[in-house]
Amino acid sequence: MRNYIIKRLFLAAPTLIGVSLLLFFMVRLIPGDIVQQIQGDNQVTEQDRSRIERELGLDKPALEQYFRWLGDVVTLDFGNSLRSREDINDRMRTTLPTTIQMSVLAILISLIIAIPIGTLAAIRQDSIADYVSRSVAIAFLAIPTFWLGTMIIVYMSRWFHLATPPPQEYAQVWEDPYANLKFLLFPFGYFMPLGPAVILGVSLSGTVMRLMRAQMLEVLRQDYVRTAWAKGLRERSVVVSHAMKNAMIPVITVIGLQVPIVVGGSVVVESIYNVPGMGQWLFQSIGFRDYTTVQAISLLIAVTVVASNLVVDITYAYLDPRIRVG
Amino acid sequence: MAAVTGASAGAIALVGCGDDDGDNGNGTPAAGETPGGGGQPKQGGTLNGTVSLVLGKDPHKASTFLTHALASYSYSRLYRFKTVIGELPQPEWYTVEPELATNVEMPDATTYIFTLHDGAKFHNLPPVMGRNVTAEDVLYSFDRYRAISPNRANLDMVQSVEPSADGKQVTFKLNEPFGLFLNRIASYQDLWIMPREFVEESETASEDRMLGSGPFIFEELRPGEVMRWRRNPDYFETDERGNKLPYLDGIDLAIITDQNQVLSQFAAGNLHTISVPPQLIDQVRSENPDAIIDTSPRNILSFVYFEPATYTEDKPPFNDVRVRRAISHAIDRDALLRRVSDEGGFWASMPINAGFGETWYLDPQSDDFGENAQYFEFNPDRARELLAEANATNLTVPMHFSSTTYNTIVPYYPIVKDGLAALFDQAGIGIREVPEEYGQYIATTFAGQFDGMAFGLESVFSDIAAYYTNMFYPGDAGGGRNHSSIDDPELVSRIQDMLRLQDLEELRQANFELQRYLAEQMYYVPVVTPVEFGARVPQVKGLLNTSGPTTYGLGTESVRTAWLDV
Repeated sequence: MRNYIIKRLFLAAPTLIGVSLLLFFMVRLIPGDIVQQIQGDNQVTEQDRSRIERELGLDKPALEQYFRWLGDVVTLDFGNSLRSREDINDRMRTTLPTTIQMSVLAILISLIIAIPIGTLAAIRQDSIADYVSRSVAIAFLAIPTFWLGTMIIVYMSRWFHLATPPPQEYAQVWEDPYANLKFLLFPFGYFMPLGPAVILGVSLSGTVMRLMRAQMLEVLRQDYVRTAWAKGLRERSVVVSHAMKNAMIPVITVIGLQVPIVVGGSVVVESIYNVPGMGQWLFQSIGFRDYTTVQAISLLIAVTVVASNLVVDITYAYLDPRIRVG
Repeated sequence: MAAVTGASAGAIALVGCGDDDGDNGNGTPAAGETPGGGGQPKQGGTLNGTVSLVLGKDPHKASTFLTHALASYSYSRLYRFKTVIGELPQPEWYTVEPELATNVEMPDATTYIFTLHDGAKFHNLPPVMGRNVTAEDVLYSFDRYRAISPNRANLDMVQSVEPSADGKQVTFKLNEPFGLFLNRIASYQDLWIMPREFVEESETASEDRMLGSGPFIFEELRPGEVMRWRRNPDYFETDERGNKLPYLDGIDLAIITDQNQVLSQFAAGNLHTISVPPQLIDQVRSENPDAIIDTSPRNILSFVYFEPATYTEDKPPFNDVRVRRAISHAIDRDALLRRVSDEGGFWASMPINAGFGETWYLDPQSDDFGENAQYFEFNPDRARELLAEANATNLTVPMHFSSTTYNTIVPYYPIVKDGLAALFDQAGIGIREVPEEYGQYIATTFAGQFDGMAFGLESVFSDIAAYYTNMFYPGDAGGGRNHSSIDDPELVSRIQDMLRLQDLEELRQANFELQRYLAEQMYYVPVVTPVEFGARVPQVKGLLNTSGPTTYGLGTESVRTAWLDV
């Protein structure tokens, strides 16, 4: 197992280097560079350009800039925003936990919704419960997060004069867990779990629900399950102890693959709910051509995706020994 | 827009888009009430407003109005724009009054001697610790502004700045007479006074916090959450009763990018004032029956412009004035205004639009405009005739526009753009829409690198001179916004003559003459200035009307006199 993990880690390194190269150069190719952004709609004179580029360290050759940035990143120093000059690390200390927390909550919520319903649909195949759950899954997949979030904000305001807490009331989980969870899960009150993490979780749950159902159906037809039934085990024991563990293997893979979807979704959901996380920050930074910030956030996302895939692979290998042997 | 630098800027929803509350429902103060109205001002309370994003804190480095508007809470200028009460626009619009200066003397047409306010002090924080603002600070700020500001061309007419030995007076010497110099000094884009020891405290001091002599002391910025100020207890101004200003204990600007969130927070009572996109005004009215809705045009010029080769290479079809006039005749400006909202608005004149008020704006629908008003007439048949005369029938051209940022900063922009496309189609002018992300639009089309035509919004300037010089001077002579490389030496000479005038009435009339001339030429085709909306809770008092928020000096111009009746 240890060798397997080391091998996977070695494979992750070139992926991340490739991503860093792409990020560094692609963001600079977008028309309307950072100097133009700083100058606004003023004409950019050569004098302005060279002064600003010098101040921002953009006057050096691109490769030198890249290696310098990479060197700093390795020491976890992401530098300063080119636009606002704020320390990126400082801001990450508040935005990164927010986005991670929201994403983890969303994934947990998606599992809480999807696994029982998917399982129920499988063990009651072609029943009303199955039809309803399949329809719900399709609906969750079809309804865009931005639409659902916007409708909630608009109609909670229109019908009940309710709003999410104002952004200044946002608190980190370690500062005030109560206020934090209220913001992310129950911003309109405890009887209305319509927070950003819930919306994101609901949208994720459709895929997991369908997959869980399909996998359970397959596993329930396996010989060993049939044997378990034949032994006279109770339904709960057969389903939970024998079927679910194996049905979960592909589900875990999908959960890992959903990490980029969660991160992408957080950009939209954070904007709609005004959650001070990384998604909103990234979205704005791209518009400003704030290279250092875009690179930092995107690289973190890439690391998260690579790490989540690694975790999935390791979990998969743990659950199915044939993989690590192979 | 004034350097709307960056996409996703979100809606402008800065504190202070309303008139006073001592009005009788139509914005006019009721008899016996003081300006700002609503009875005796009360001290205390925190005003909750909103801002879409924060892009730095240093007003000298900034190109965006977003930074300048925020700076106005903490910093001061020598002069500022006067706040006026009631419906807008009105004659006093865009007149100036002293701020850090108590008065100005003009021994000759090129010399301005400002006397500084005796009691003006910087905030009582390290490293300045509440020391007096001196003439040396003005000189330091001017030098710094001139070295690093993206807007530094605005004060190119200044030859020298000299502080007096006692530090109480500062003399500005100009290269040549410039009749609107005080307006330029009051501009939000330019000369904010900053103390040297603060700026030089560290490389990032001026971006880490704000430290000036304004009515509010910067407290904190929590990115994505809130920007916060508290009252400056040593602020040098008092109201007419001798009470110290400001009345408010603090300002909280919630950082909210999504417009639905803004409306939702307002409906829930978490915000006191907001800007409202025209298409949502009915919703705001129905959800907030007690809210006071303010309306005013902002001085944002919307216009159609043509590829630079039109003028530099005499390239058809827009080199023919008949085609440019046909474009104008194809525009049903009233229909565009109705499309935006039932409240209507104004036809834009070139380059001065209704947001500047009747002092400077010549309404193309008024008799005063004279015979050249004919070129604004909506007449698709005439447009077709002109195109035929110019051998430009079956004209099909690309129309470039920004597909991001403007949509949220100026919500009527996409509505007017869609309306224009339909109107051009009616007049037989084929349009191929070219949407561009804002950063790309500013770097290419707005900078004059495009083909066909474009629909855009001009930067917001605080005085009319800036519009003329920026949009019509050659690029290397101050024409930083000459998007189409217009080259009309006669026009430039007339602008120069106008700007030398010292008598404001003469200057005003010369400006009207130029607007008539530009209507005839249609170098750029002016479109419309819709009325814009703000909403506030009735408890907000004394928030005098600035210019929508288009003077962007809200902190010292308007919010310093605001109070909460709670």
